[in-house]
Amino acid sequence: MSASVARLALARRPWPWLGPLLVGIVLVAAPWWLPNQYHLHIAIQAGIFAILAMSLNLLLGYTGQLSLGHAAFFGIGGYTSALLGKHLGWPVFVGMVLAVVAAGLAGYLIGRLSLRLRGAYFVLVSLSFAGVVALIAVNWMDLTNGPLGLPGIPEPAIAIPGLGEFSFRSKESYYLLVLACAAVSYFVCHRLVCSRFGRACVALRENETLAQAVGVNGTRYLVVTAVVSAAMAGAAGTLYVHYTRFVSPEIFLFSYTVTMVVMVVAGGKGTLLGPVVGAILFTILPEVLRAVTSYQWQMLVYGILLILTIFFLPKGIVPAVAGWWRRVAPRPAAATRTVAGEAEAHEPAR
Amino acid sequence: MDILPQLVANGLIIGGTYALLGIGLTMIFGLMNVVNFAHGEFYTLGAYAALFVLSALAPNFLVAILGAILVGALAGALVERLLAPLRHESIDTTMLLMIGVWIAMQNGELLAWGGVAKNIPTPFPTEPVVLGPLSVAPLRLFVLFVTAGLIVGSHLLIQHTKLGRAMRATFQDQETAALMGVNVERIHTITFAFGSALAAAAGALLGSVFLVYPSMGDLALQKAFSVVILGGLGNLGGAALGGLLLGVAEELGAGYVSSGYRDALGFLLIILVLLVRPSGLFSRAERVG
Amino acid sequence: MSLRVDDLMLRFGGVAALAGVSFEAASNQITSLIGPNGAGKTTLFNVVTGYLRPQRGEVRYENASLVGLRPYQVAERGIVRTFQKTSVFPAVTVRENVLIGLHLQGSSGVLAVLRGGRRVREEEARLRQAADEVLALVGLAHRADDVAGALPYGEQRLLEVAIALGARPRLLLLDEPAAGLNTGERQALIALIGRIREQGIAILLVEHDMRLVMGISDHVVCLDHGQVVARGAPAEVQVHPEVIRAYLGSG
Repeated sequence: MSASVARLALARRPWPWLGPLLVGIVLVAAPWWLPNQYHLHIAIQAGIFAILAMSLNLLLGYTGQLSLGHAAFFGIGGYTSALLGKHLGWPVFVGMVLAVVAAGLAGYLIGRLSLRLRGAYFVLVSLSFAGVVALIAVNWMDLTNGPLGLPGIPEPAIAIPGLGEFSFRSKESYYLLVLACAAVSYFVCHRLVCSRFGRACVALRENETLAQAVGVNGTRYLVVTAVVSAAMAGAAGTLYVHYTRFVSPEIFLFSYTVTMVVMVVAGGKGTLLGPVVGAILFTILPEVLRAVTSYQWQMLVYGILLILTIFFLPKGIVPAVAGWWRRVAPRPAAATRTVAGEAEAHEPAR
Repeated sequence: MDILPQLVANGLIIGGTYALLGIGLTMIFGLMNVVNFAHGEFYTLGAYAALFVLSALAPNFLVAILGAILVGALAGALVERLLAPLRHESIDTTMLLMIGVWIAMQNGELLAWGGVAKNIPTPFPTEPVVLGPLSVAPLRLFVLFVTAGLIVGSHLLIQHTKLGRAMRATFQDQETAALMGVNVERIHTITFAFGSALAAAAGALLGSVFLVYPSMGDLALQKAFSVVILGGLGNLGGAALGGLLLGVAEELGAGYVSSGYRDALGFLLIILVLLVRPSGLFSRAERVG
Repeated sequence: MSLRVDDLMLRFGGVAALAGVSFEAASNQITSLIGPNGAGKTTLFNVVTGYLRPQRGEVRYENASLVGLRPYQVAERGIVRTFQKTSVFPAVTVRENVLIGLHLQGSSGVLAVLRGGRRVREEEARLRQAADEVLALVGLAHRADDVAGALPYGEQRLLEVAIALGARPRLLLLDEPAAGLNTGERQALIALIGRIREQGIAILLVEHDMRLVMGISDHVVCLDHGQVVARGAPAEVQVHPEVIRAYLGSG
């Protein structure tokens, strides 16, 4: 973790970077203590969805706009690198970078389209955009092979001078790749949120009229957040596609968006750790449910869980736990902070 | 063009059901400021209810439609009552809540009835009725009549009854209406029930024209939103006109351009209208902040 | 360096909220806008700060036109306003609120923030210090870490002024800042306005509290039905027959 995290974390606690360091070591060492391929598979999925959830959280949690079309960025990322790799034979890493760029461009488009639209209108624009993109993927057979999808997507490989080519074929290596990307995503979110930029986004969420009056250009921050958020979702998309080695219009399924929303909301929107916790929880949960029941029950449980979470834990799991922890031990953790430089705020004594 | 009148006719018939969907959704949004993402599920529920009535209770098509309406109303009231405690939360929270209801209902229906598409048996002959240049299936004529009846009935209810007056008053200014003695809680429940009933009717009608399957509500939801945006949030007349407009536009698009992208038209219309005239085609433009 | 409003006209449907308003708010003064409810005072604020567009007329500050600018651009020109209805950023702390107000005092964009580095850190430290200074000026330093939404009404109104001050205005528009305040709070507000004025910030004030208005204003403008009916020193305006008529009604 960066030095600024350590500095921003309340330095009254000794070695505040010890916790994150231990977590980091445990995560990196996972291929050794999780030799079961199935568990590694779940870990990879959790990592990809963590990136996806973090991206949605930037829009939903911090600028306060719900994008129900986020699966579109996921899919655009996936399709871009798949097509570049399969049709043009470009090196996968190049394709992945371009996929992130393409998704970011799509985010820019949404941001510009929305301009001054907020709330329900923004939701509808994002939903409609995703609908159009999905329809294109289904109907433009020449490009995307339609509903049949494109199998045989290559896995990423890098040429190490002197050692030859190393391809990320094994689950262990792919896990480390995903972990690295997730760490980068978390870092990006942390930097953005704990800054003047993050404050402007929160101002947008809390009271845009007032924010404008003190010089915050709402549209600009929304567009930039949309670009970063979309690019991150696109990164998750390419990681997903090169892992499953397959892409089809199913990637645009609304159920992915729904899962993402549940992860962010249940985990804790507007916090840094919330989407990560939500992603891990809701990646493990369906696997547990799958052993017991079918896909429909799984989705039904999601729906009910979403409702229950909003009723009982309206801020999500991470803030609830942080609140409980604060009552037990007086120093709040850095990653539950909601905005730049401030730990989770406490209510004044009445 | 030869097929133009036919396309327009088809469009008006389908558009009428879109109008029902839109009127219901715009009522719920306009009155309660709830973005009802579960609206499509009441549509689906109506279709399955009609199916159920026909297969298990009485083989009478009209009764089935009425049953669908009733089920829709009850389900709507139930959902509204369940979620009433959270009504004062921000619009984002209610949006998320309705998404939860959407997921729960759709998968509940999937579990209850299975994923295989079903047919609603109708008593009408399949031989189309020929009216000048138009050729319309009797079932579709029936749909047209019922839809028109429901739209006119809704209008009469809203404009000319005491209940309708109470609804309009609550819509304009909730606090004042409450001060005037209107039971605002009850109006909310009734409005939600009414809007859901209209969606259910649309579901039963279109379900009998096409097929019934658990995810049919997703498309209906998107169309409902298109209609509401076209007409302006909260504008009932606009929703009626918007529905017809969308239906005709879709038919013309499918007929002249391509049928694969037919549903894209709804999406594109939403984006276009939101860009150009967010208050809707039929609303008076409002001040910009 | 003053604000000039020339013949502003704004109609909502058939109603003229502003029917040709002209006045000037000088740079080293406290100017007050008075008038009965519905006279158009808040509408005027909305037009000056870019939330509404007039159909006709001009608004000039430092000889540059403000008409057509978006609100955030007006703020960049040094004109900041508060709102009639309590308006803070409720879910974050008081210090955060002021830090948001200090937005224009920073310059780190997305790329700078991602890169990090010494300049960004120094800017953050500078902003935090500025925030603490504003809070001390306003008298809310003891509330810095409290959630804004939980503050009592009087303190929230002070916070609104603090947020506006963070934007380093040269002209501060206060929309009924004393509404709902008790005597002690009102005194604190008057003292605060005095301190703001000492810093060289011009103030345009909308207020119903006549004692407050007459006590601190250098110049008073009275609006009624979207038109200026009187202007001048407080003592003159107070006894002006048009003003009395506007408030009491004619006949």
